[in-house]
Amino acid sequence: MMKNPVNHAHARILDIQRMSTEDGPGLRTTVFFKGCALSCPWCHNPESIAFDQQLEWIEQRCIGCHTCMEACMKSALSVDTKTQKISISRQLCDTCAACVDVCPSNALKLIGCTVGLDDLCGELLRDSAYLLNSADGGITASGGEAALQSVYVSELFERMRKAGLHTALDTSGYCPTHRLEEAARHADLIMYDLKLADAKKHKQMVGGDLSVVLDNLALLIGMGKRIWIRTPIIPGYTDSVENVEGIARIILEFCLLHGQDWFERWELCAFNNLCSDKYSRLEKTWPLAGVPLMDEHSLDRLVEAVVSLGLPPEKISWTGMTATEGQQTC
Amino acid sequence: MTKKGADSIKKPRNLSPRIQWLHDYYFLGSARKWNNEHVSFSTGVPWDVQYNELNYYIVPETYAFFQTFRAAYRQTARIVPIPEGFWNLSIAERRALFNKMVMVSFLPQEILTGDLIAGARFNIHTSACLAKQEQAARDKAIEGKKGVRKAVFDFHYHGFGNCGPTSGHLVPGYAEILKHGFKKTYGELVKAYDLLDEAQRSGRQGQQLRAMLIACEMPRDLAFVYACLADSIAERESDTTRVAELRQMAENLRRVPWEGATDFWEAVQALWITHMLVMSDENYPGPGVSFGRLDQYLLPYWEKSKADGMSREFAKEILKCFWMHANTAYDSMIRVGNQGITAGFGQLLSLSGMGAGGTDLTNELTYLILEVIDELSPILEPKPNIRLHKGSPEPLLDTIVEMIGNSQGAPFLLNFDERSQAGMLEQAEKGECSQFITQSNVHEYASVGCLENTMVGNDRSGTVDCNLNLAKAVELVFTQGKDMHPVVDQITGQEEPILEDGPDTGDPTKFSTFEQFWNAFDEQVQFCIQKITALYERGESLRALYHPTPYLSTLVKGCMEKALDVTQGGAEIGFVTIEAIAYATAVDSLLAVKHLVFDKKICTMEQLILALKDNWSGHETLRAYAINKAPKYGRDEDAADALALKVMKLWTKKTWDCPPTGTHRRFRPGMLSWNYWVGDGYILAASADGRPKGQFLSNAVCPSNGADVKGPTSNANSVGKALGGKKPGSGWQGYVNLLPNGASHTITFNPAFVKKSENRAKFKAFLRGYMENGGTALQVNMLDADTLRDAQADPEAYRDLLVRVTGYNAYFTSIGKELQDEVISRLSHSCV
Repeated sequence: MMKNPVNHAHARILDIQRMSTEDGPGLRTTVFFKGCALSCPWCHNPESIAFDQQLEWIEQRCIGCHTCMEACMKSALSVDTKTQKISISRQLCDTCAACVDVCPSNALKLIGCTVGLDDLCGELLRDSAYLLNSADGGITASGGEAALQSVYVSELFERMRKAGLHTALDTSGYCPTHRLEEAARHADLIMYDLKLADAKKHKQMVGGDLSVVLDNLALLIGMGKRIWIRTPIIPGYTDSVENVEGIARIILEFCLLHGQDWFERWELCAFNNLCSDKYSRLEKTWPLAGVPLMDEHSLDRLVEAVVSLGLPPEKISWTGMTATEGQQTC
Repeated sequence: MTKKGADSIKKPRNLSPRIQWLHDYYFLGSARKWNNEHVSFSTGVPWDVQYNELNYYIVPETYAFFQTFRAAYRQTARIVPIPEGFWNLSIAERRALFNKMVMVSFLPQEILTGDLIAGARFNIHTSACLAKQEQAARDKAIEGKKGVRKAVFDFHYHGFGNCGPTSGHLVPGYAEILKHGFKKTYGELVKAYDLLDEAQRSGRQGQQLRAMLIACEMPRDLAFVYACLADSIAERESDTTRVAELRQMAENLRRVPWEGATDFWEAVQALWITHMLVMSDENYPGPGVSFGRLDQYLLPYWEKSKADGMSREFAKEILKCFWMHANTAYDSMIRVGNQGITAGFGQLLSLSGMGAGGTDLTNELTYLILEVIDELSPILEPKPNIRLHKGSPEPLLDTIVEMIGNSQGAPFLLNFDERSQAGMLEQAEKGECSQFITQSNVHEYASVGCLENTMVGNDRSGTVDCNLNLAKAVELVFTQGKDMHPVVDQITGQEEPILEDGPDTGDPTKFSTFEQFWNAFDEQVQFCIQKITALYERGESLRALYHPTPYLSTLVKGCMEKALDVTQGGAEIGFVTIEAIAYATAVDSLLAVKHLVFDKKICTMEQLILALKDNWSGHETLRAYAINKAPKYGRDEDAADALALKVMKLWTKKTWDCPPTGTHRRFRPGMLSWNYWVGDGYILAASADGRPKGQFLSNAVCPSNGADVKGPTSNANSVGKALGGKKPGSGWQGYVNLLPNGASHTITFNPAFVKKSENRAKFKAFLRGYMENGGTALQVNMLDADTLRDAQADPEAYRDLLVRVTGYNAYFTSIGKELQDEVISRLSHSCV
């Protein structure tokens, strides 16, 4: 396993999702890159935060054969004799994946893999027929923070563009400016997160400076990029009218400098609670476990609030699952 | 879990009082004053029989009832006085005459309140019209100790599949009748007869042409009776608008279908009478008697009527009446319920599609018919099949996606022209019928039944006649040609001795390479195909001898020219289709053997065979390896899909290589697999892909359940590759299709996917991509699991819930619990 695979030829990714309808315009294939410099407590992909690979055990899949125990050379696995649960010693496990290879039921899984550019491009082009038939359909680099692997992303986008595919970068905006600039170079669309308007809270809650995010946004506007702003609406964290209005004011300030055309839409992305079990598998507790979905009404109110501040209503919408609709809507 | 309630189920809308009444009356079911339940008629001779079980060899659910049906129809048969000299006629002439008498003079005629189309009852079981010795010889060949019935049962219970010469499943030459009427056919038959010499006239050819002449008079005479009925109702009717309608109907019926139709109303009337009599002639309601390209051949009549002042709404009214008539096919066993065998009749119609030179033939009638479907749905018949190709217009796709988004199952099937036409051209070459199917006419193809592609008006390709279990061939490799488990007699409960009629392909535990296993599989496939074709021949030769359909023969080009009944190989294009079942189960089993035994050496062949014999019980770890670690078809993984293609090439080549039947029909390959993948899963032993006995097999060309973990696009890509993918310069514009019949492919989506208008555009992109990469036909389910679970728990509230289960539509609440569970478990893409 390569220790430092980040270069123009290899990347550390989490997953590829084909036929995605929620990661930008048109039909898309989305690549989730691994590794992120922020640590948002609500993160829906907690397994994407660490750059390194991690071993996980998926209880529902385990058939209790314990083949893994014999395969582990580091004695990193143990079984609770009462519950039959398998625990992983993070100190001992060197993610050699020997247990993953022998696990018959795929209950043990290594999160993340290293993939060469040629292989990834080949995989993404498998769906060209669908993506090319979709207006603005293409590929999205998401994460994690894809921009942290900017050399790779840049070359990936360049190749995808040559194949006629639309390229989108889904970014938190929190990364070194030159990285973002490089990652965005061949991107047709940037989906850009603005999570919290208050600089102090931003630093406290997600662990990064808001100024970096705002400076980077200014850079992208300067590059003339097509931009969608996204705000995760998380109960107790970002869902206050005050916060959303604060973000609206930030957007309006950029409008004063650049006119209203710099952003194409602003999406308020409703909290979803599908990721609880991801946290438990990583032996982490999720502060939002058990928090119910939002209702349509409160999301409508947030939209109304920012529209009343003078933002163009046709650009503002909310997306995602709500309690009144039921969980079948993704 | 949220309960959405029955309000979310699509309901018919925008129905006029006339259609609403006809609709509601239909759904009264057996409470109706009259219905189209099968009525039987006898010549009155003591040996007379009506029920023809050959039609039902492909419906294993009915095996146990053959004797009951035979006895019941005999006992309830009404005697029709036969004319003098009847028994001196040939069988074909007797049948033509008898059916004509029944339809014109003995079966009651009705015209319902407000109905604009005449032609009510048509479900009949009529005397086989066999003389005593003929009947005895036929019965011996079927029911005798070594009769074909026992052989068919054995074939099924040992897990090979099923086969039998079945009716329907073709597009008769309706367009010709609409244009010229039966009068022209009659004239041509007279001419052909005149050309025969004396010996020919008294022989087989003369008999056949005379029978067809009698049959030609049946629609004329029946239409005349209906004309009189319309007039007599008009006499008693006080509503002047209705009187005018009835008088117009009478006038229409005095012309068509004997003469060519001159306007839209006449054309639809002619089509219905002509069509329903096919079902009468075959004593077989609905299955697969298909209309072909309805929006194409009705167009000139609509244009004429429109110019004459007919409103669009009235045209829809006429079509909706036609739709209600098509549904009465289901009355056949109305008191038994609308379950099982009656759930999938498949009077298919094709809409839109490619024209000459790759043009698009979508027209205003296409949209008008789609409106009729949308406003009437959910409704079962006729089943629409919409043909798509690269040149399909955006508004058509918009309409389709809108309709899919608003219904539970798409109210139509989708057929893909490029891939389908490639298959028909493959057939032209491999099946040596290139004089009838060419690059310049292949676009005239249409689908029958569900999605089976055939040419129109000259083609009977037995599209449901042979259903072969490919997974059985893998089992026979493990056992050196024997059944893995003994079959238990269903009545006595006794174990039968192990059947060992397959070739001994060597002790698999001695195989040192996968190549050896493959070679053994090759030999077992050969054996299975030989077995099914030989068995089929036995049934088909009996049909050819004893069960002519002279009326249908007048509608199939070639029959008159050869003076041969369609059951005797009269059609210009005549194939028998072998529809493979459990394709992915077989492919995945081979992949598992390769992975577990040869590549990774996770187990030995002995261990694997033992696990299969034990139905995986006690071998859970090995089973988990088979399920989770062995590669699977359906994930767009090239190595696995390459083996899938290799299996496809193997069995299709062996199918083409089969000798023709006694009626000179060649065999061709397809993948429909109706509902057999459900039932046969209980018969077939455990398979190496991790499937225990009792779990469903894979469905048609679909990946195995749960295998398509990478979503709809990868699933579709694998299917396209398995059919042959693309190769510049071959097939149709570089598309290759090894299955001329076509292949059933179902993908279930969550309704949320097409809820937002933005996402509807994305769904269109999926369909356009499918045209490039996918298969010949696609059925789209739009269902969420919660709705289905609700429906399972509260069937009364969901009576209207329509779902697609492989090639046919069914009311969800009327299908079995296992199948319901299956549909629910297929919701793999509930969160795209």
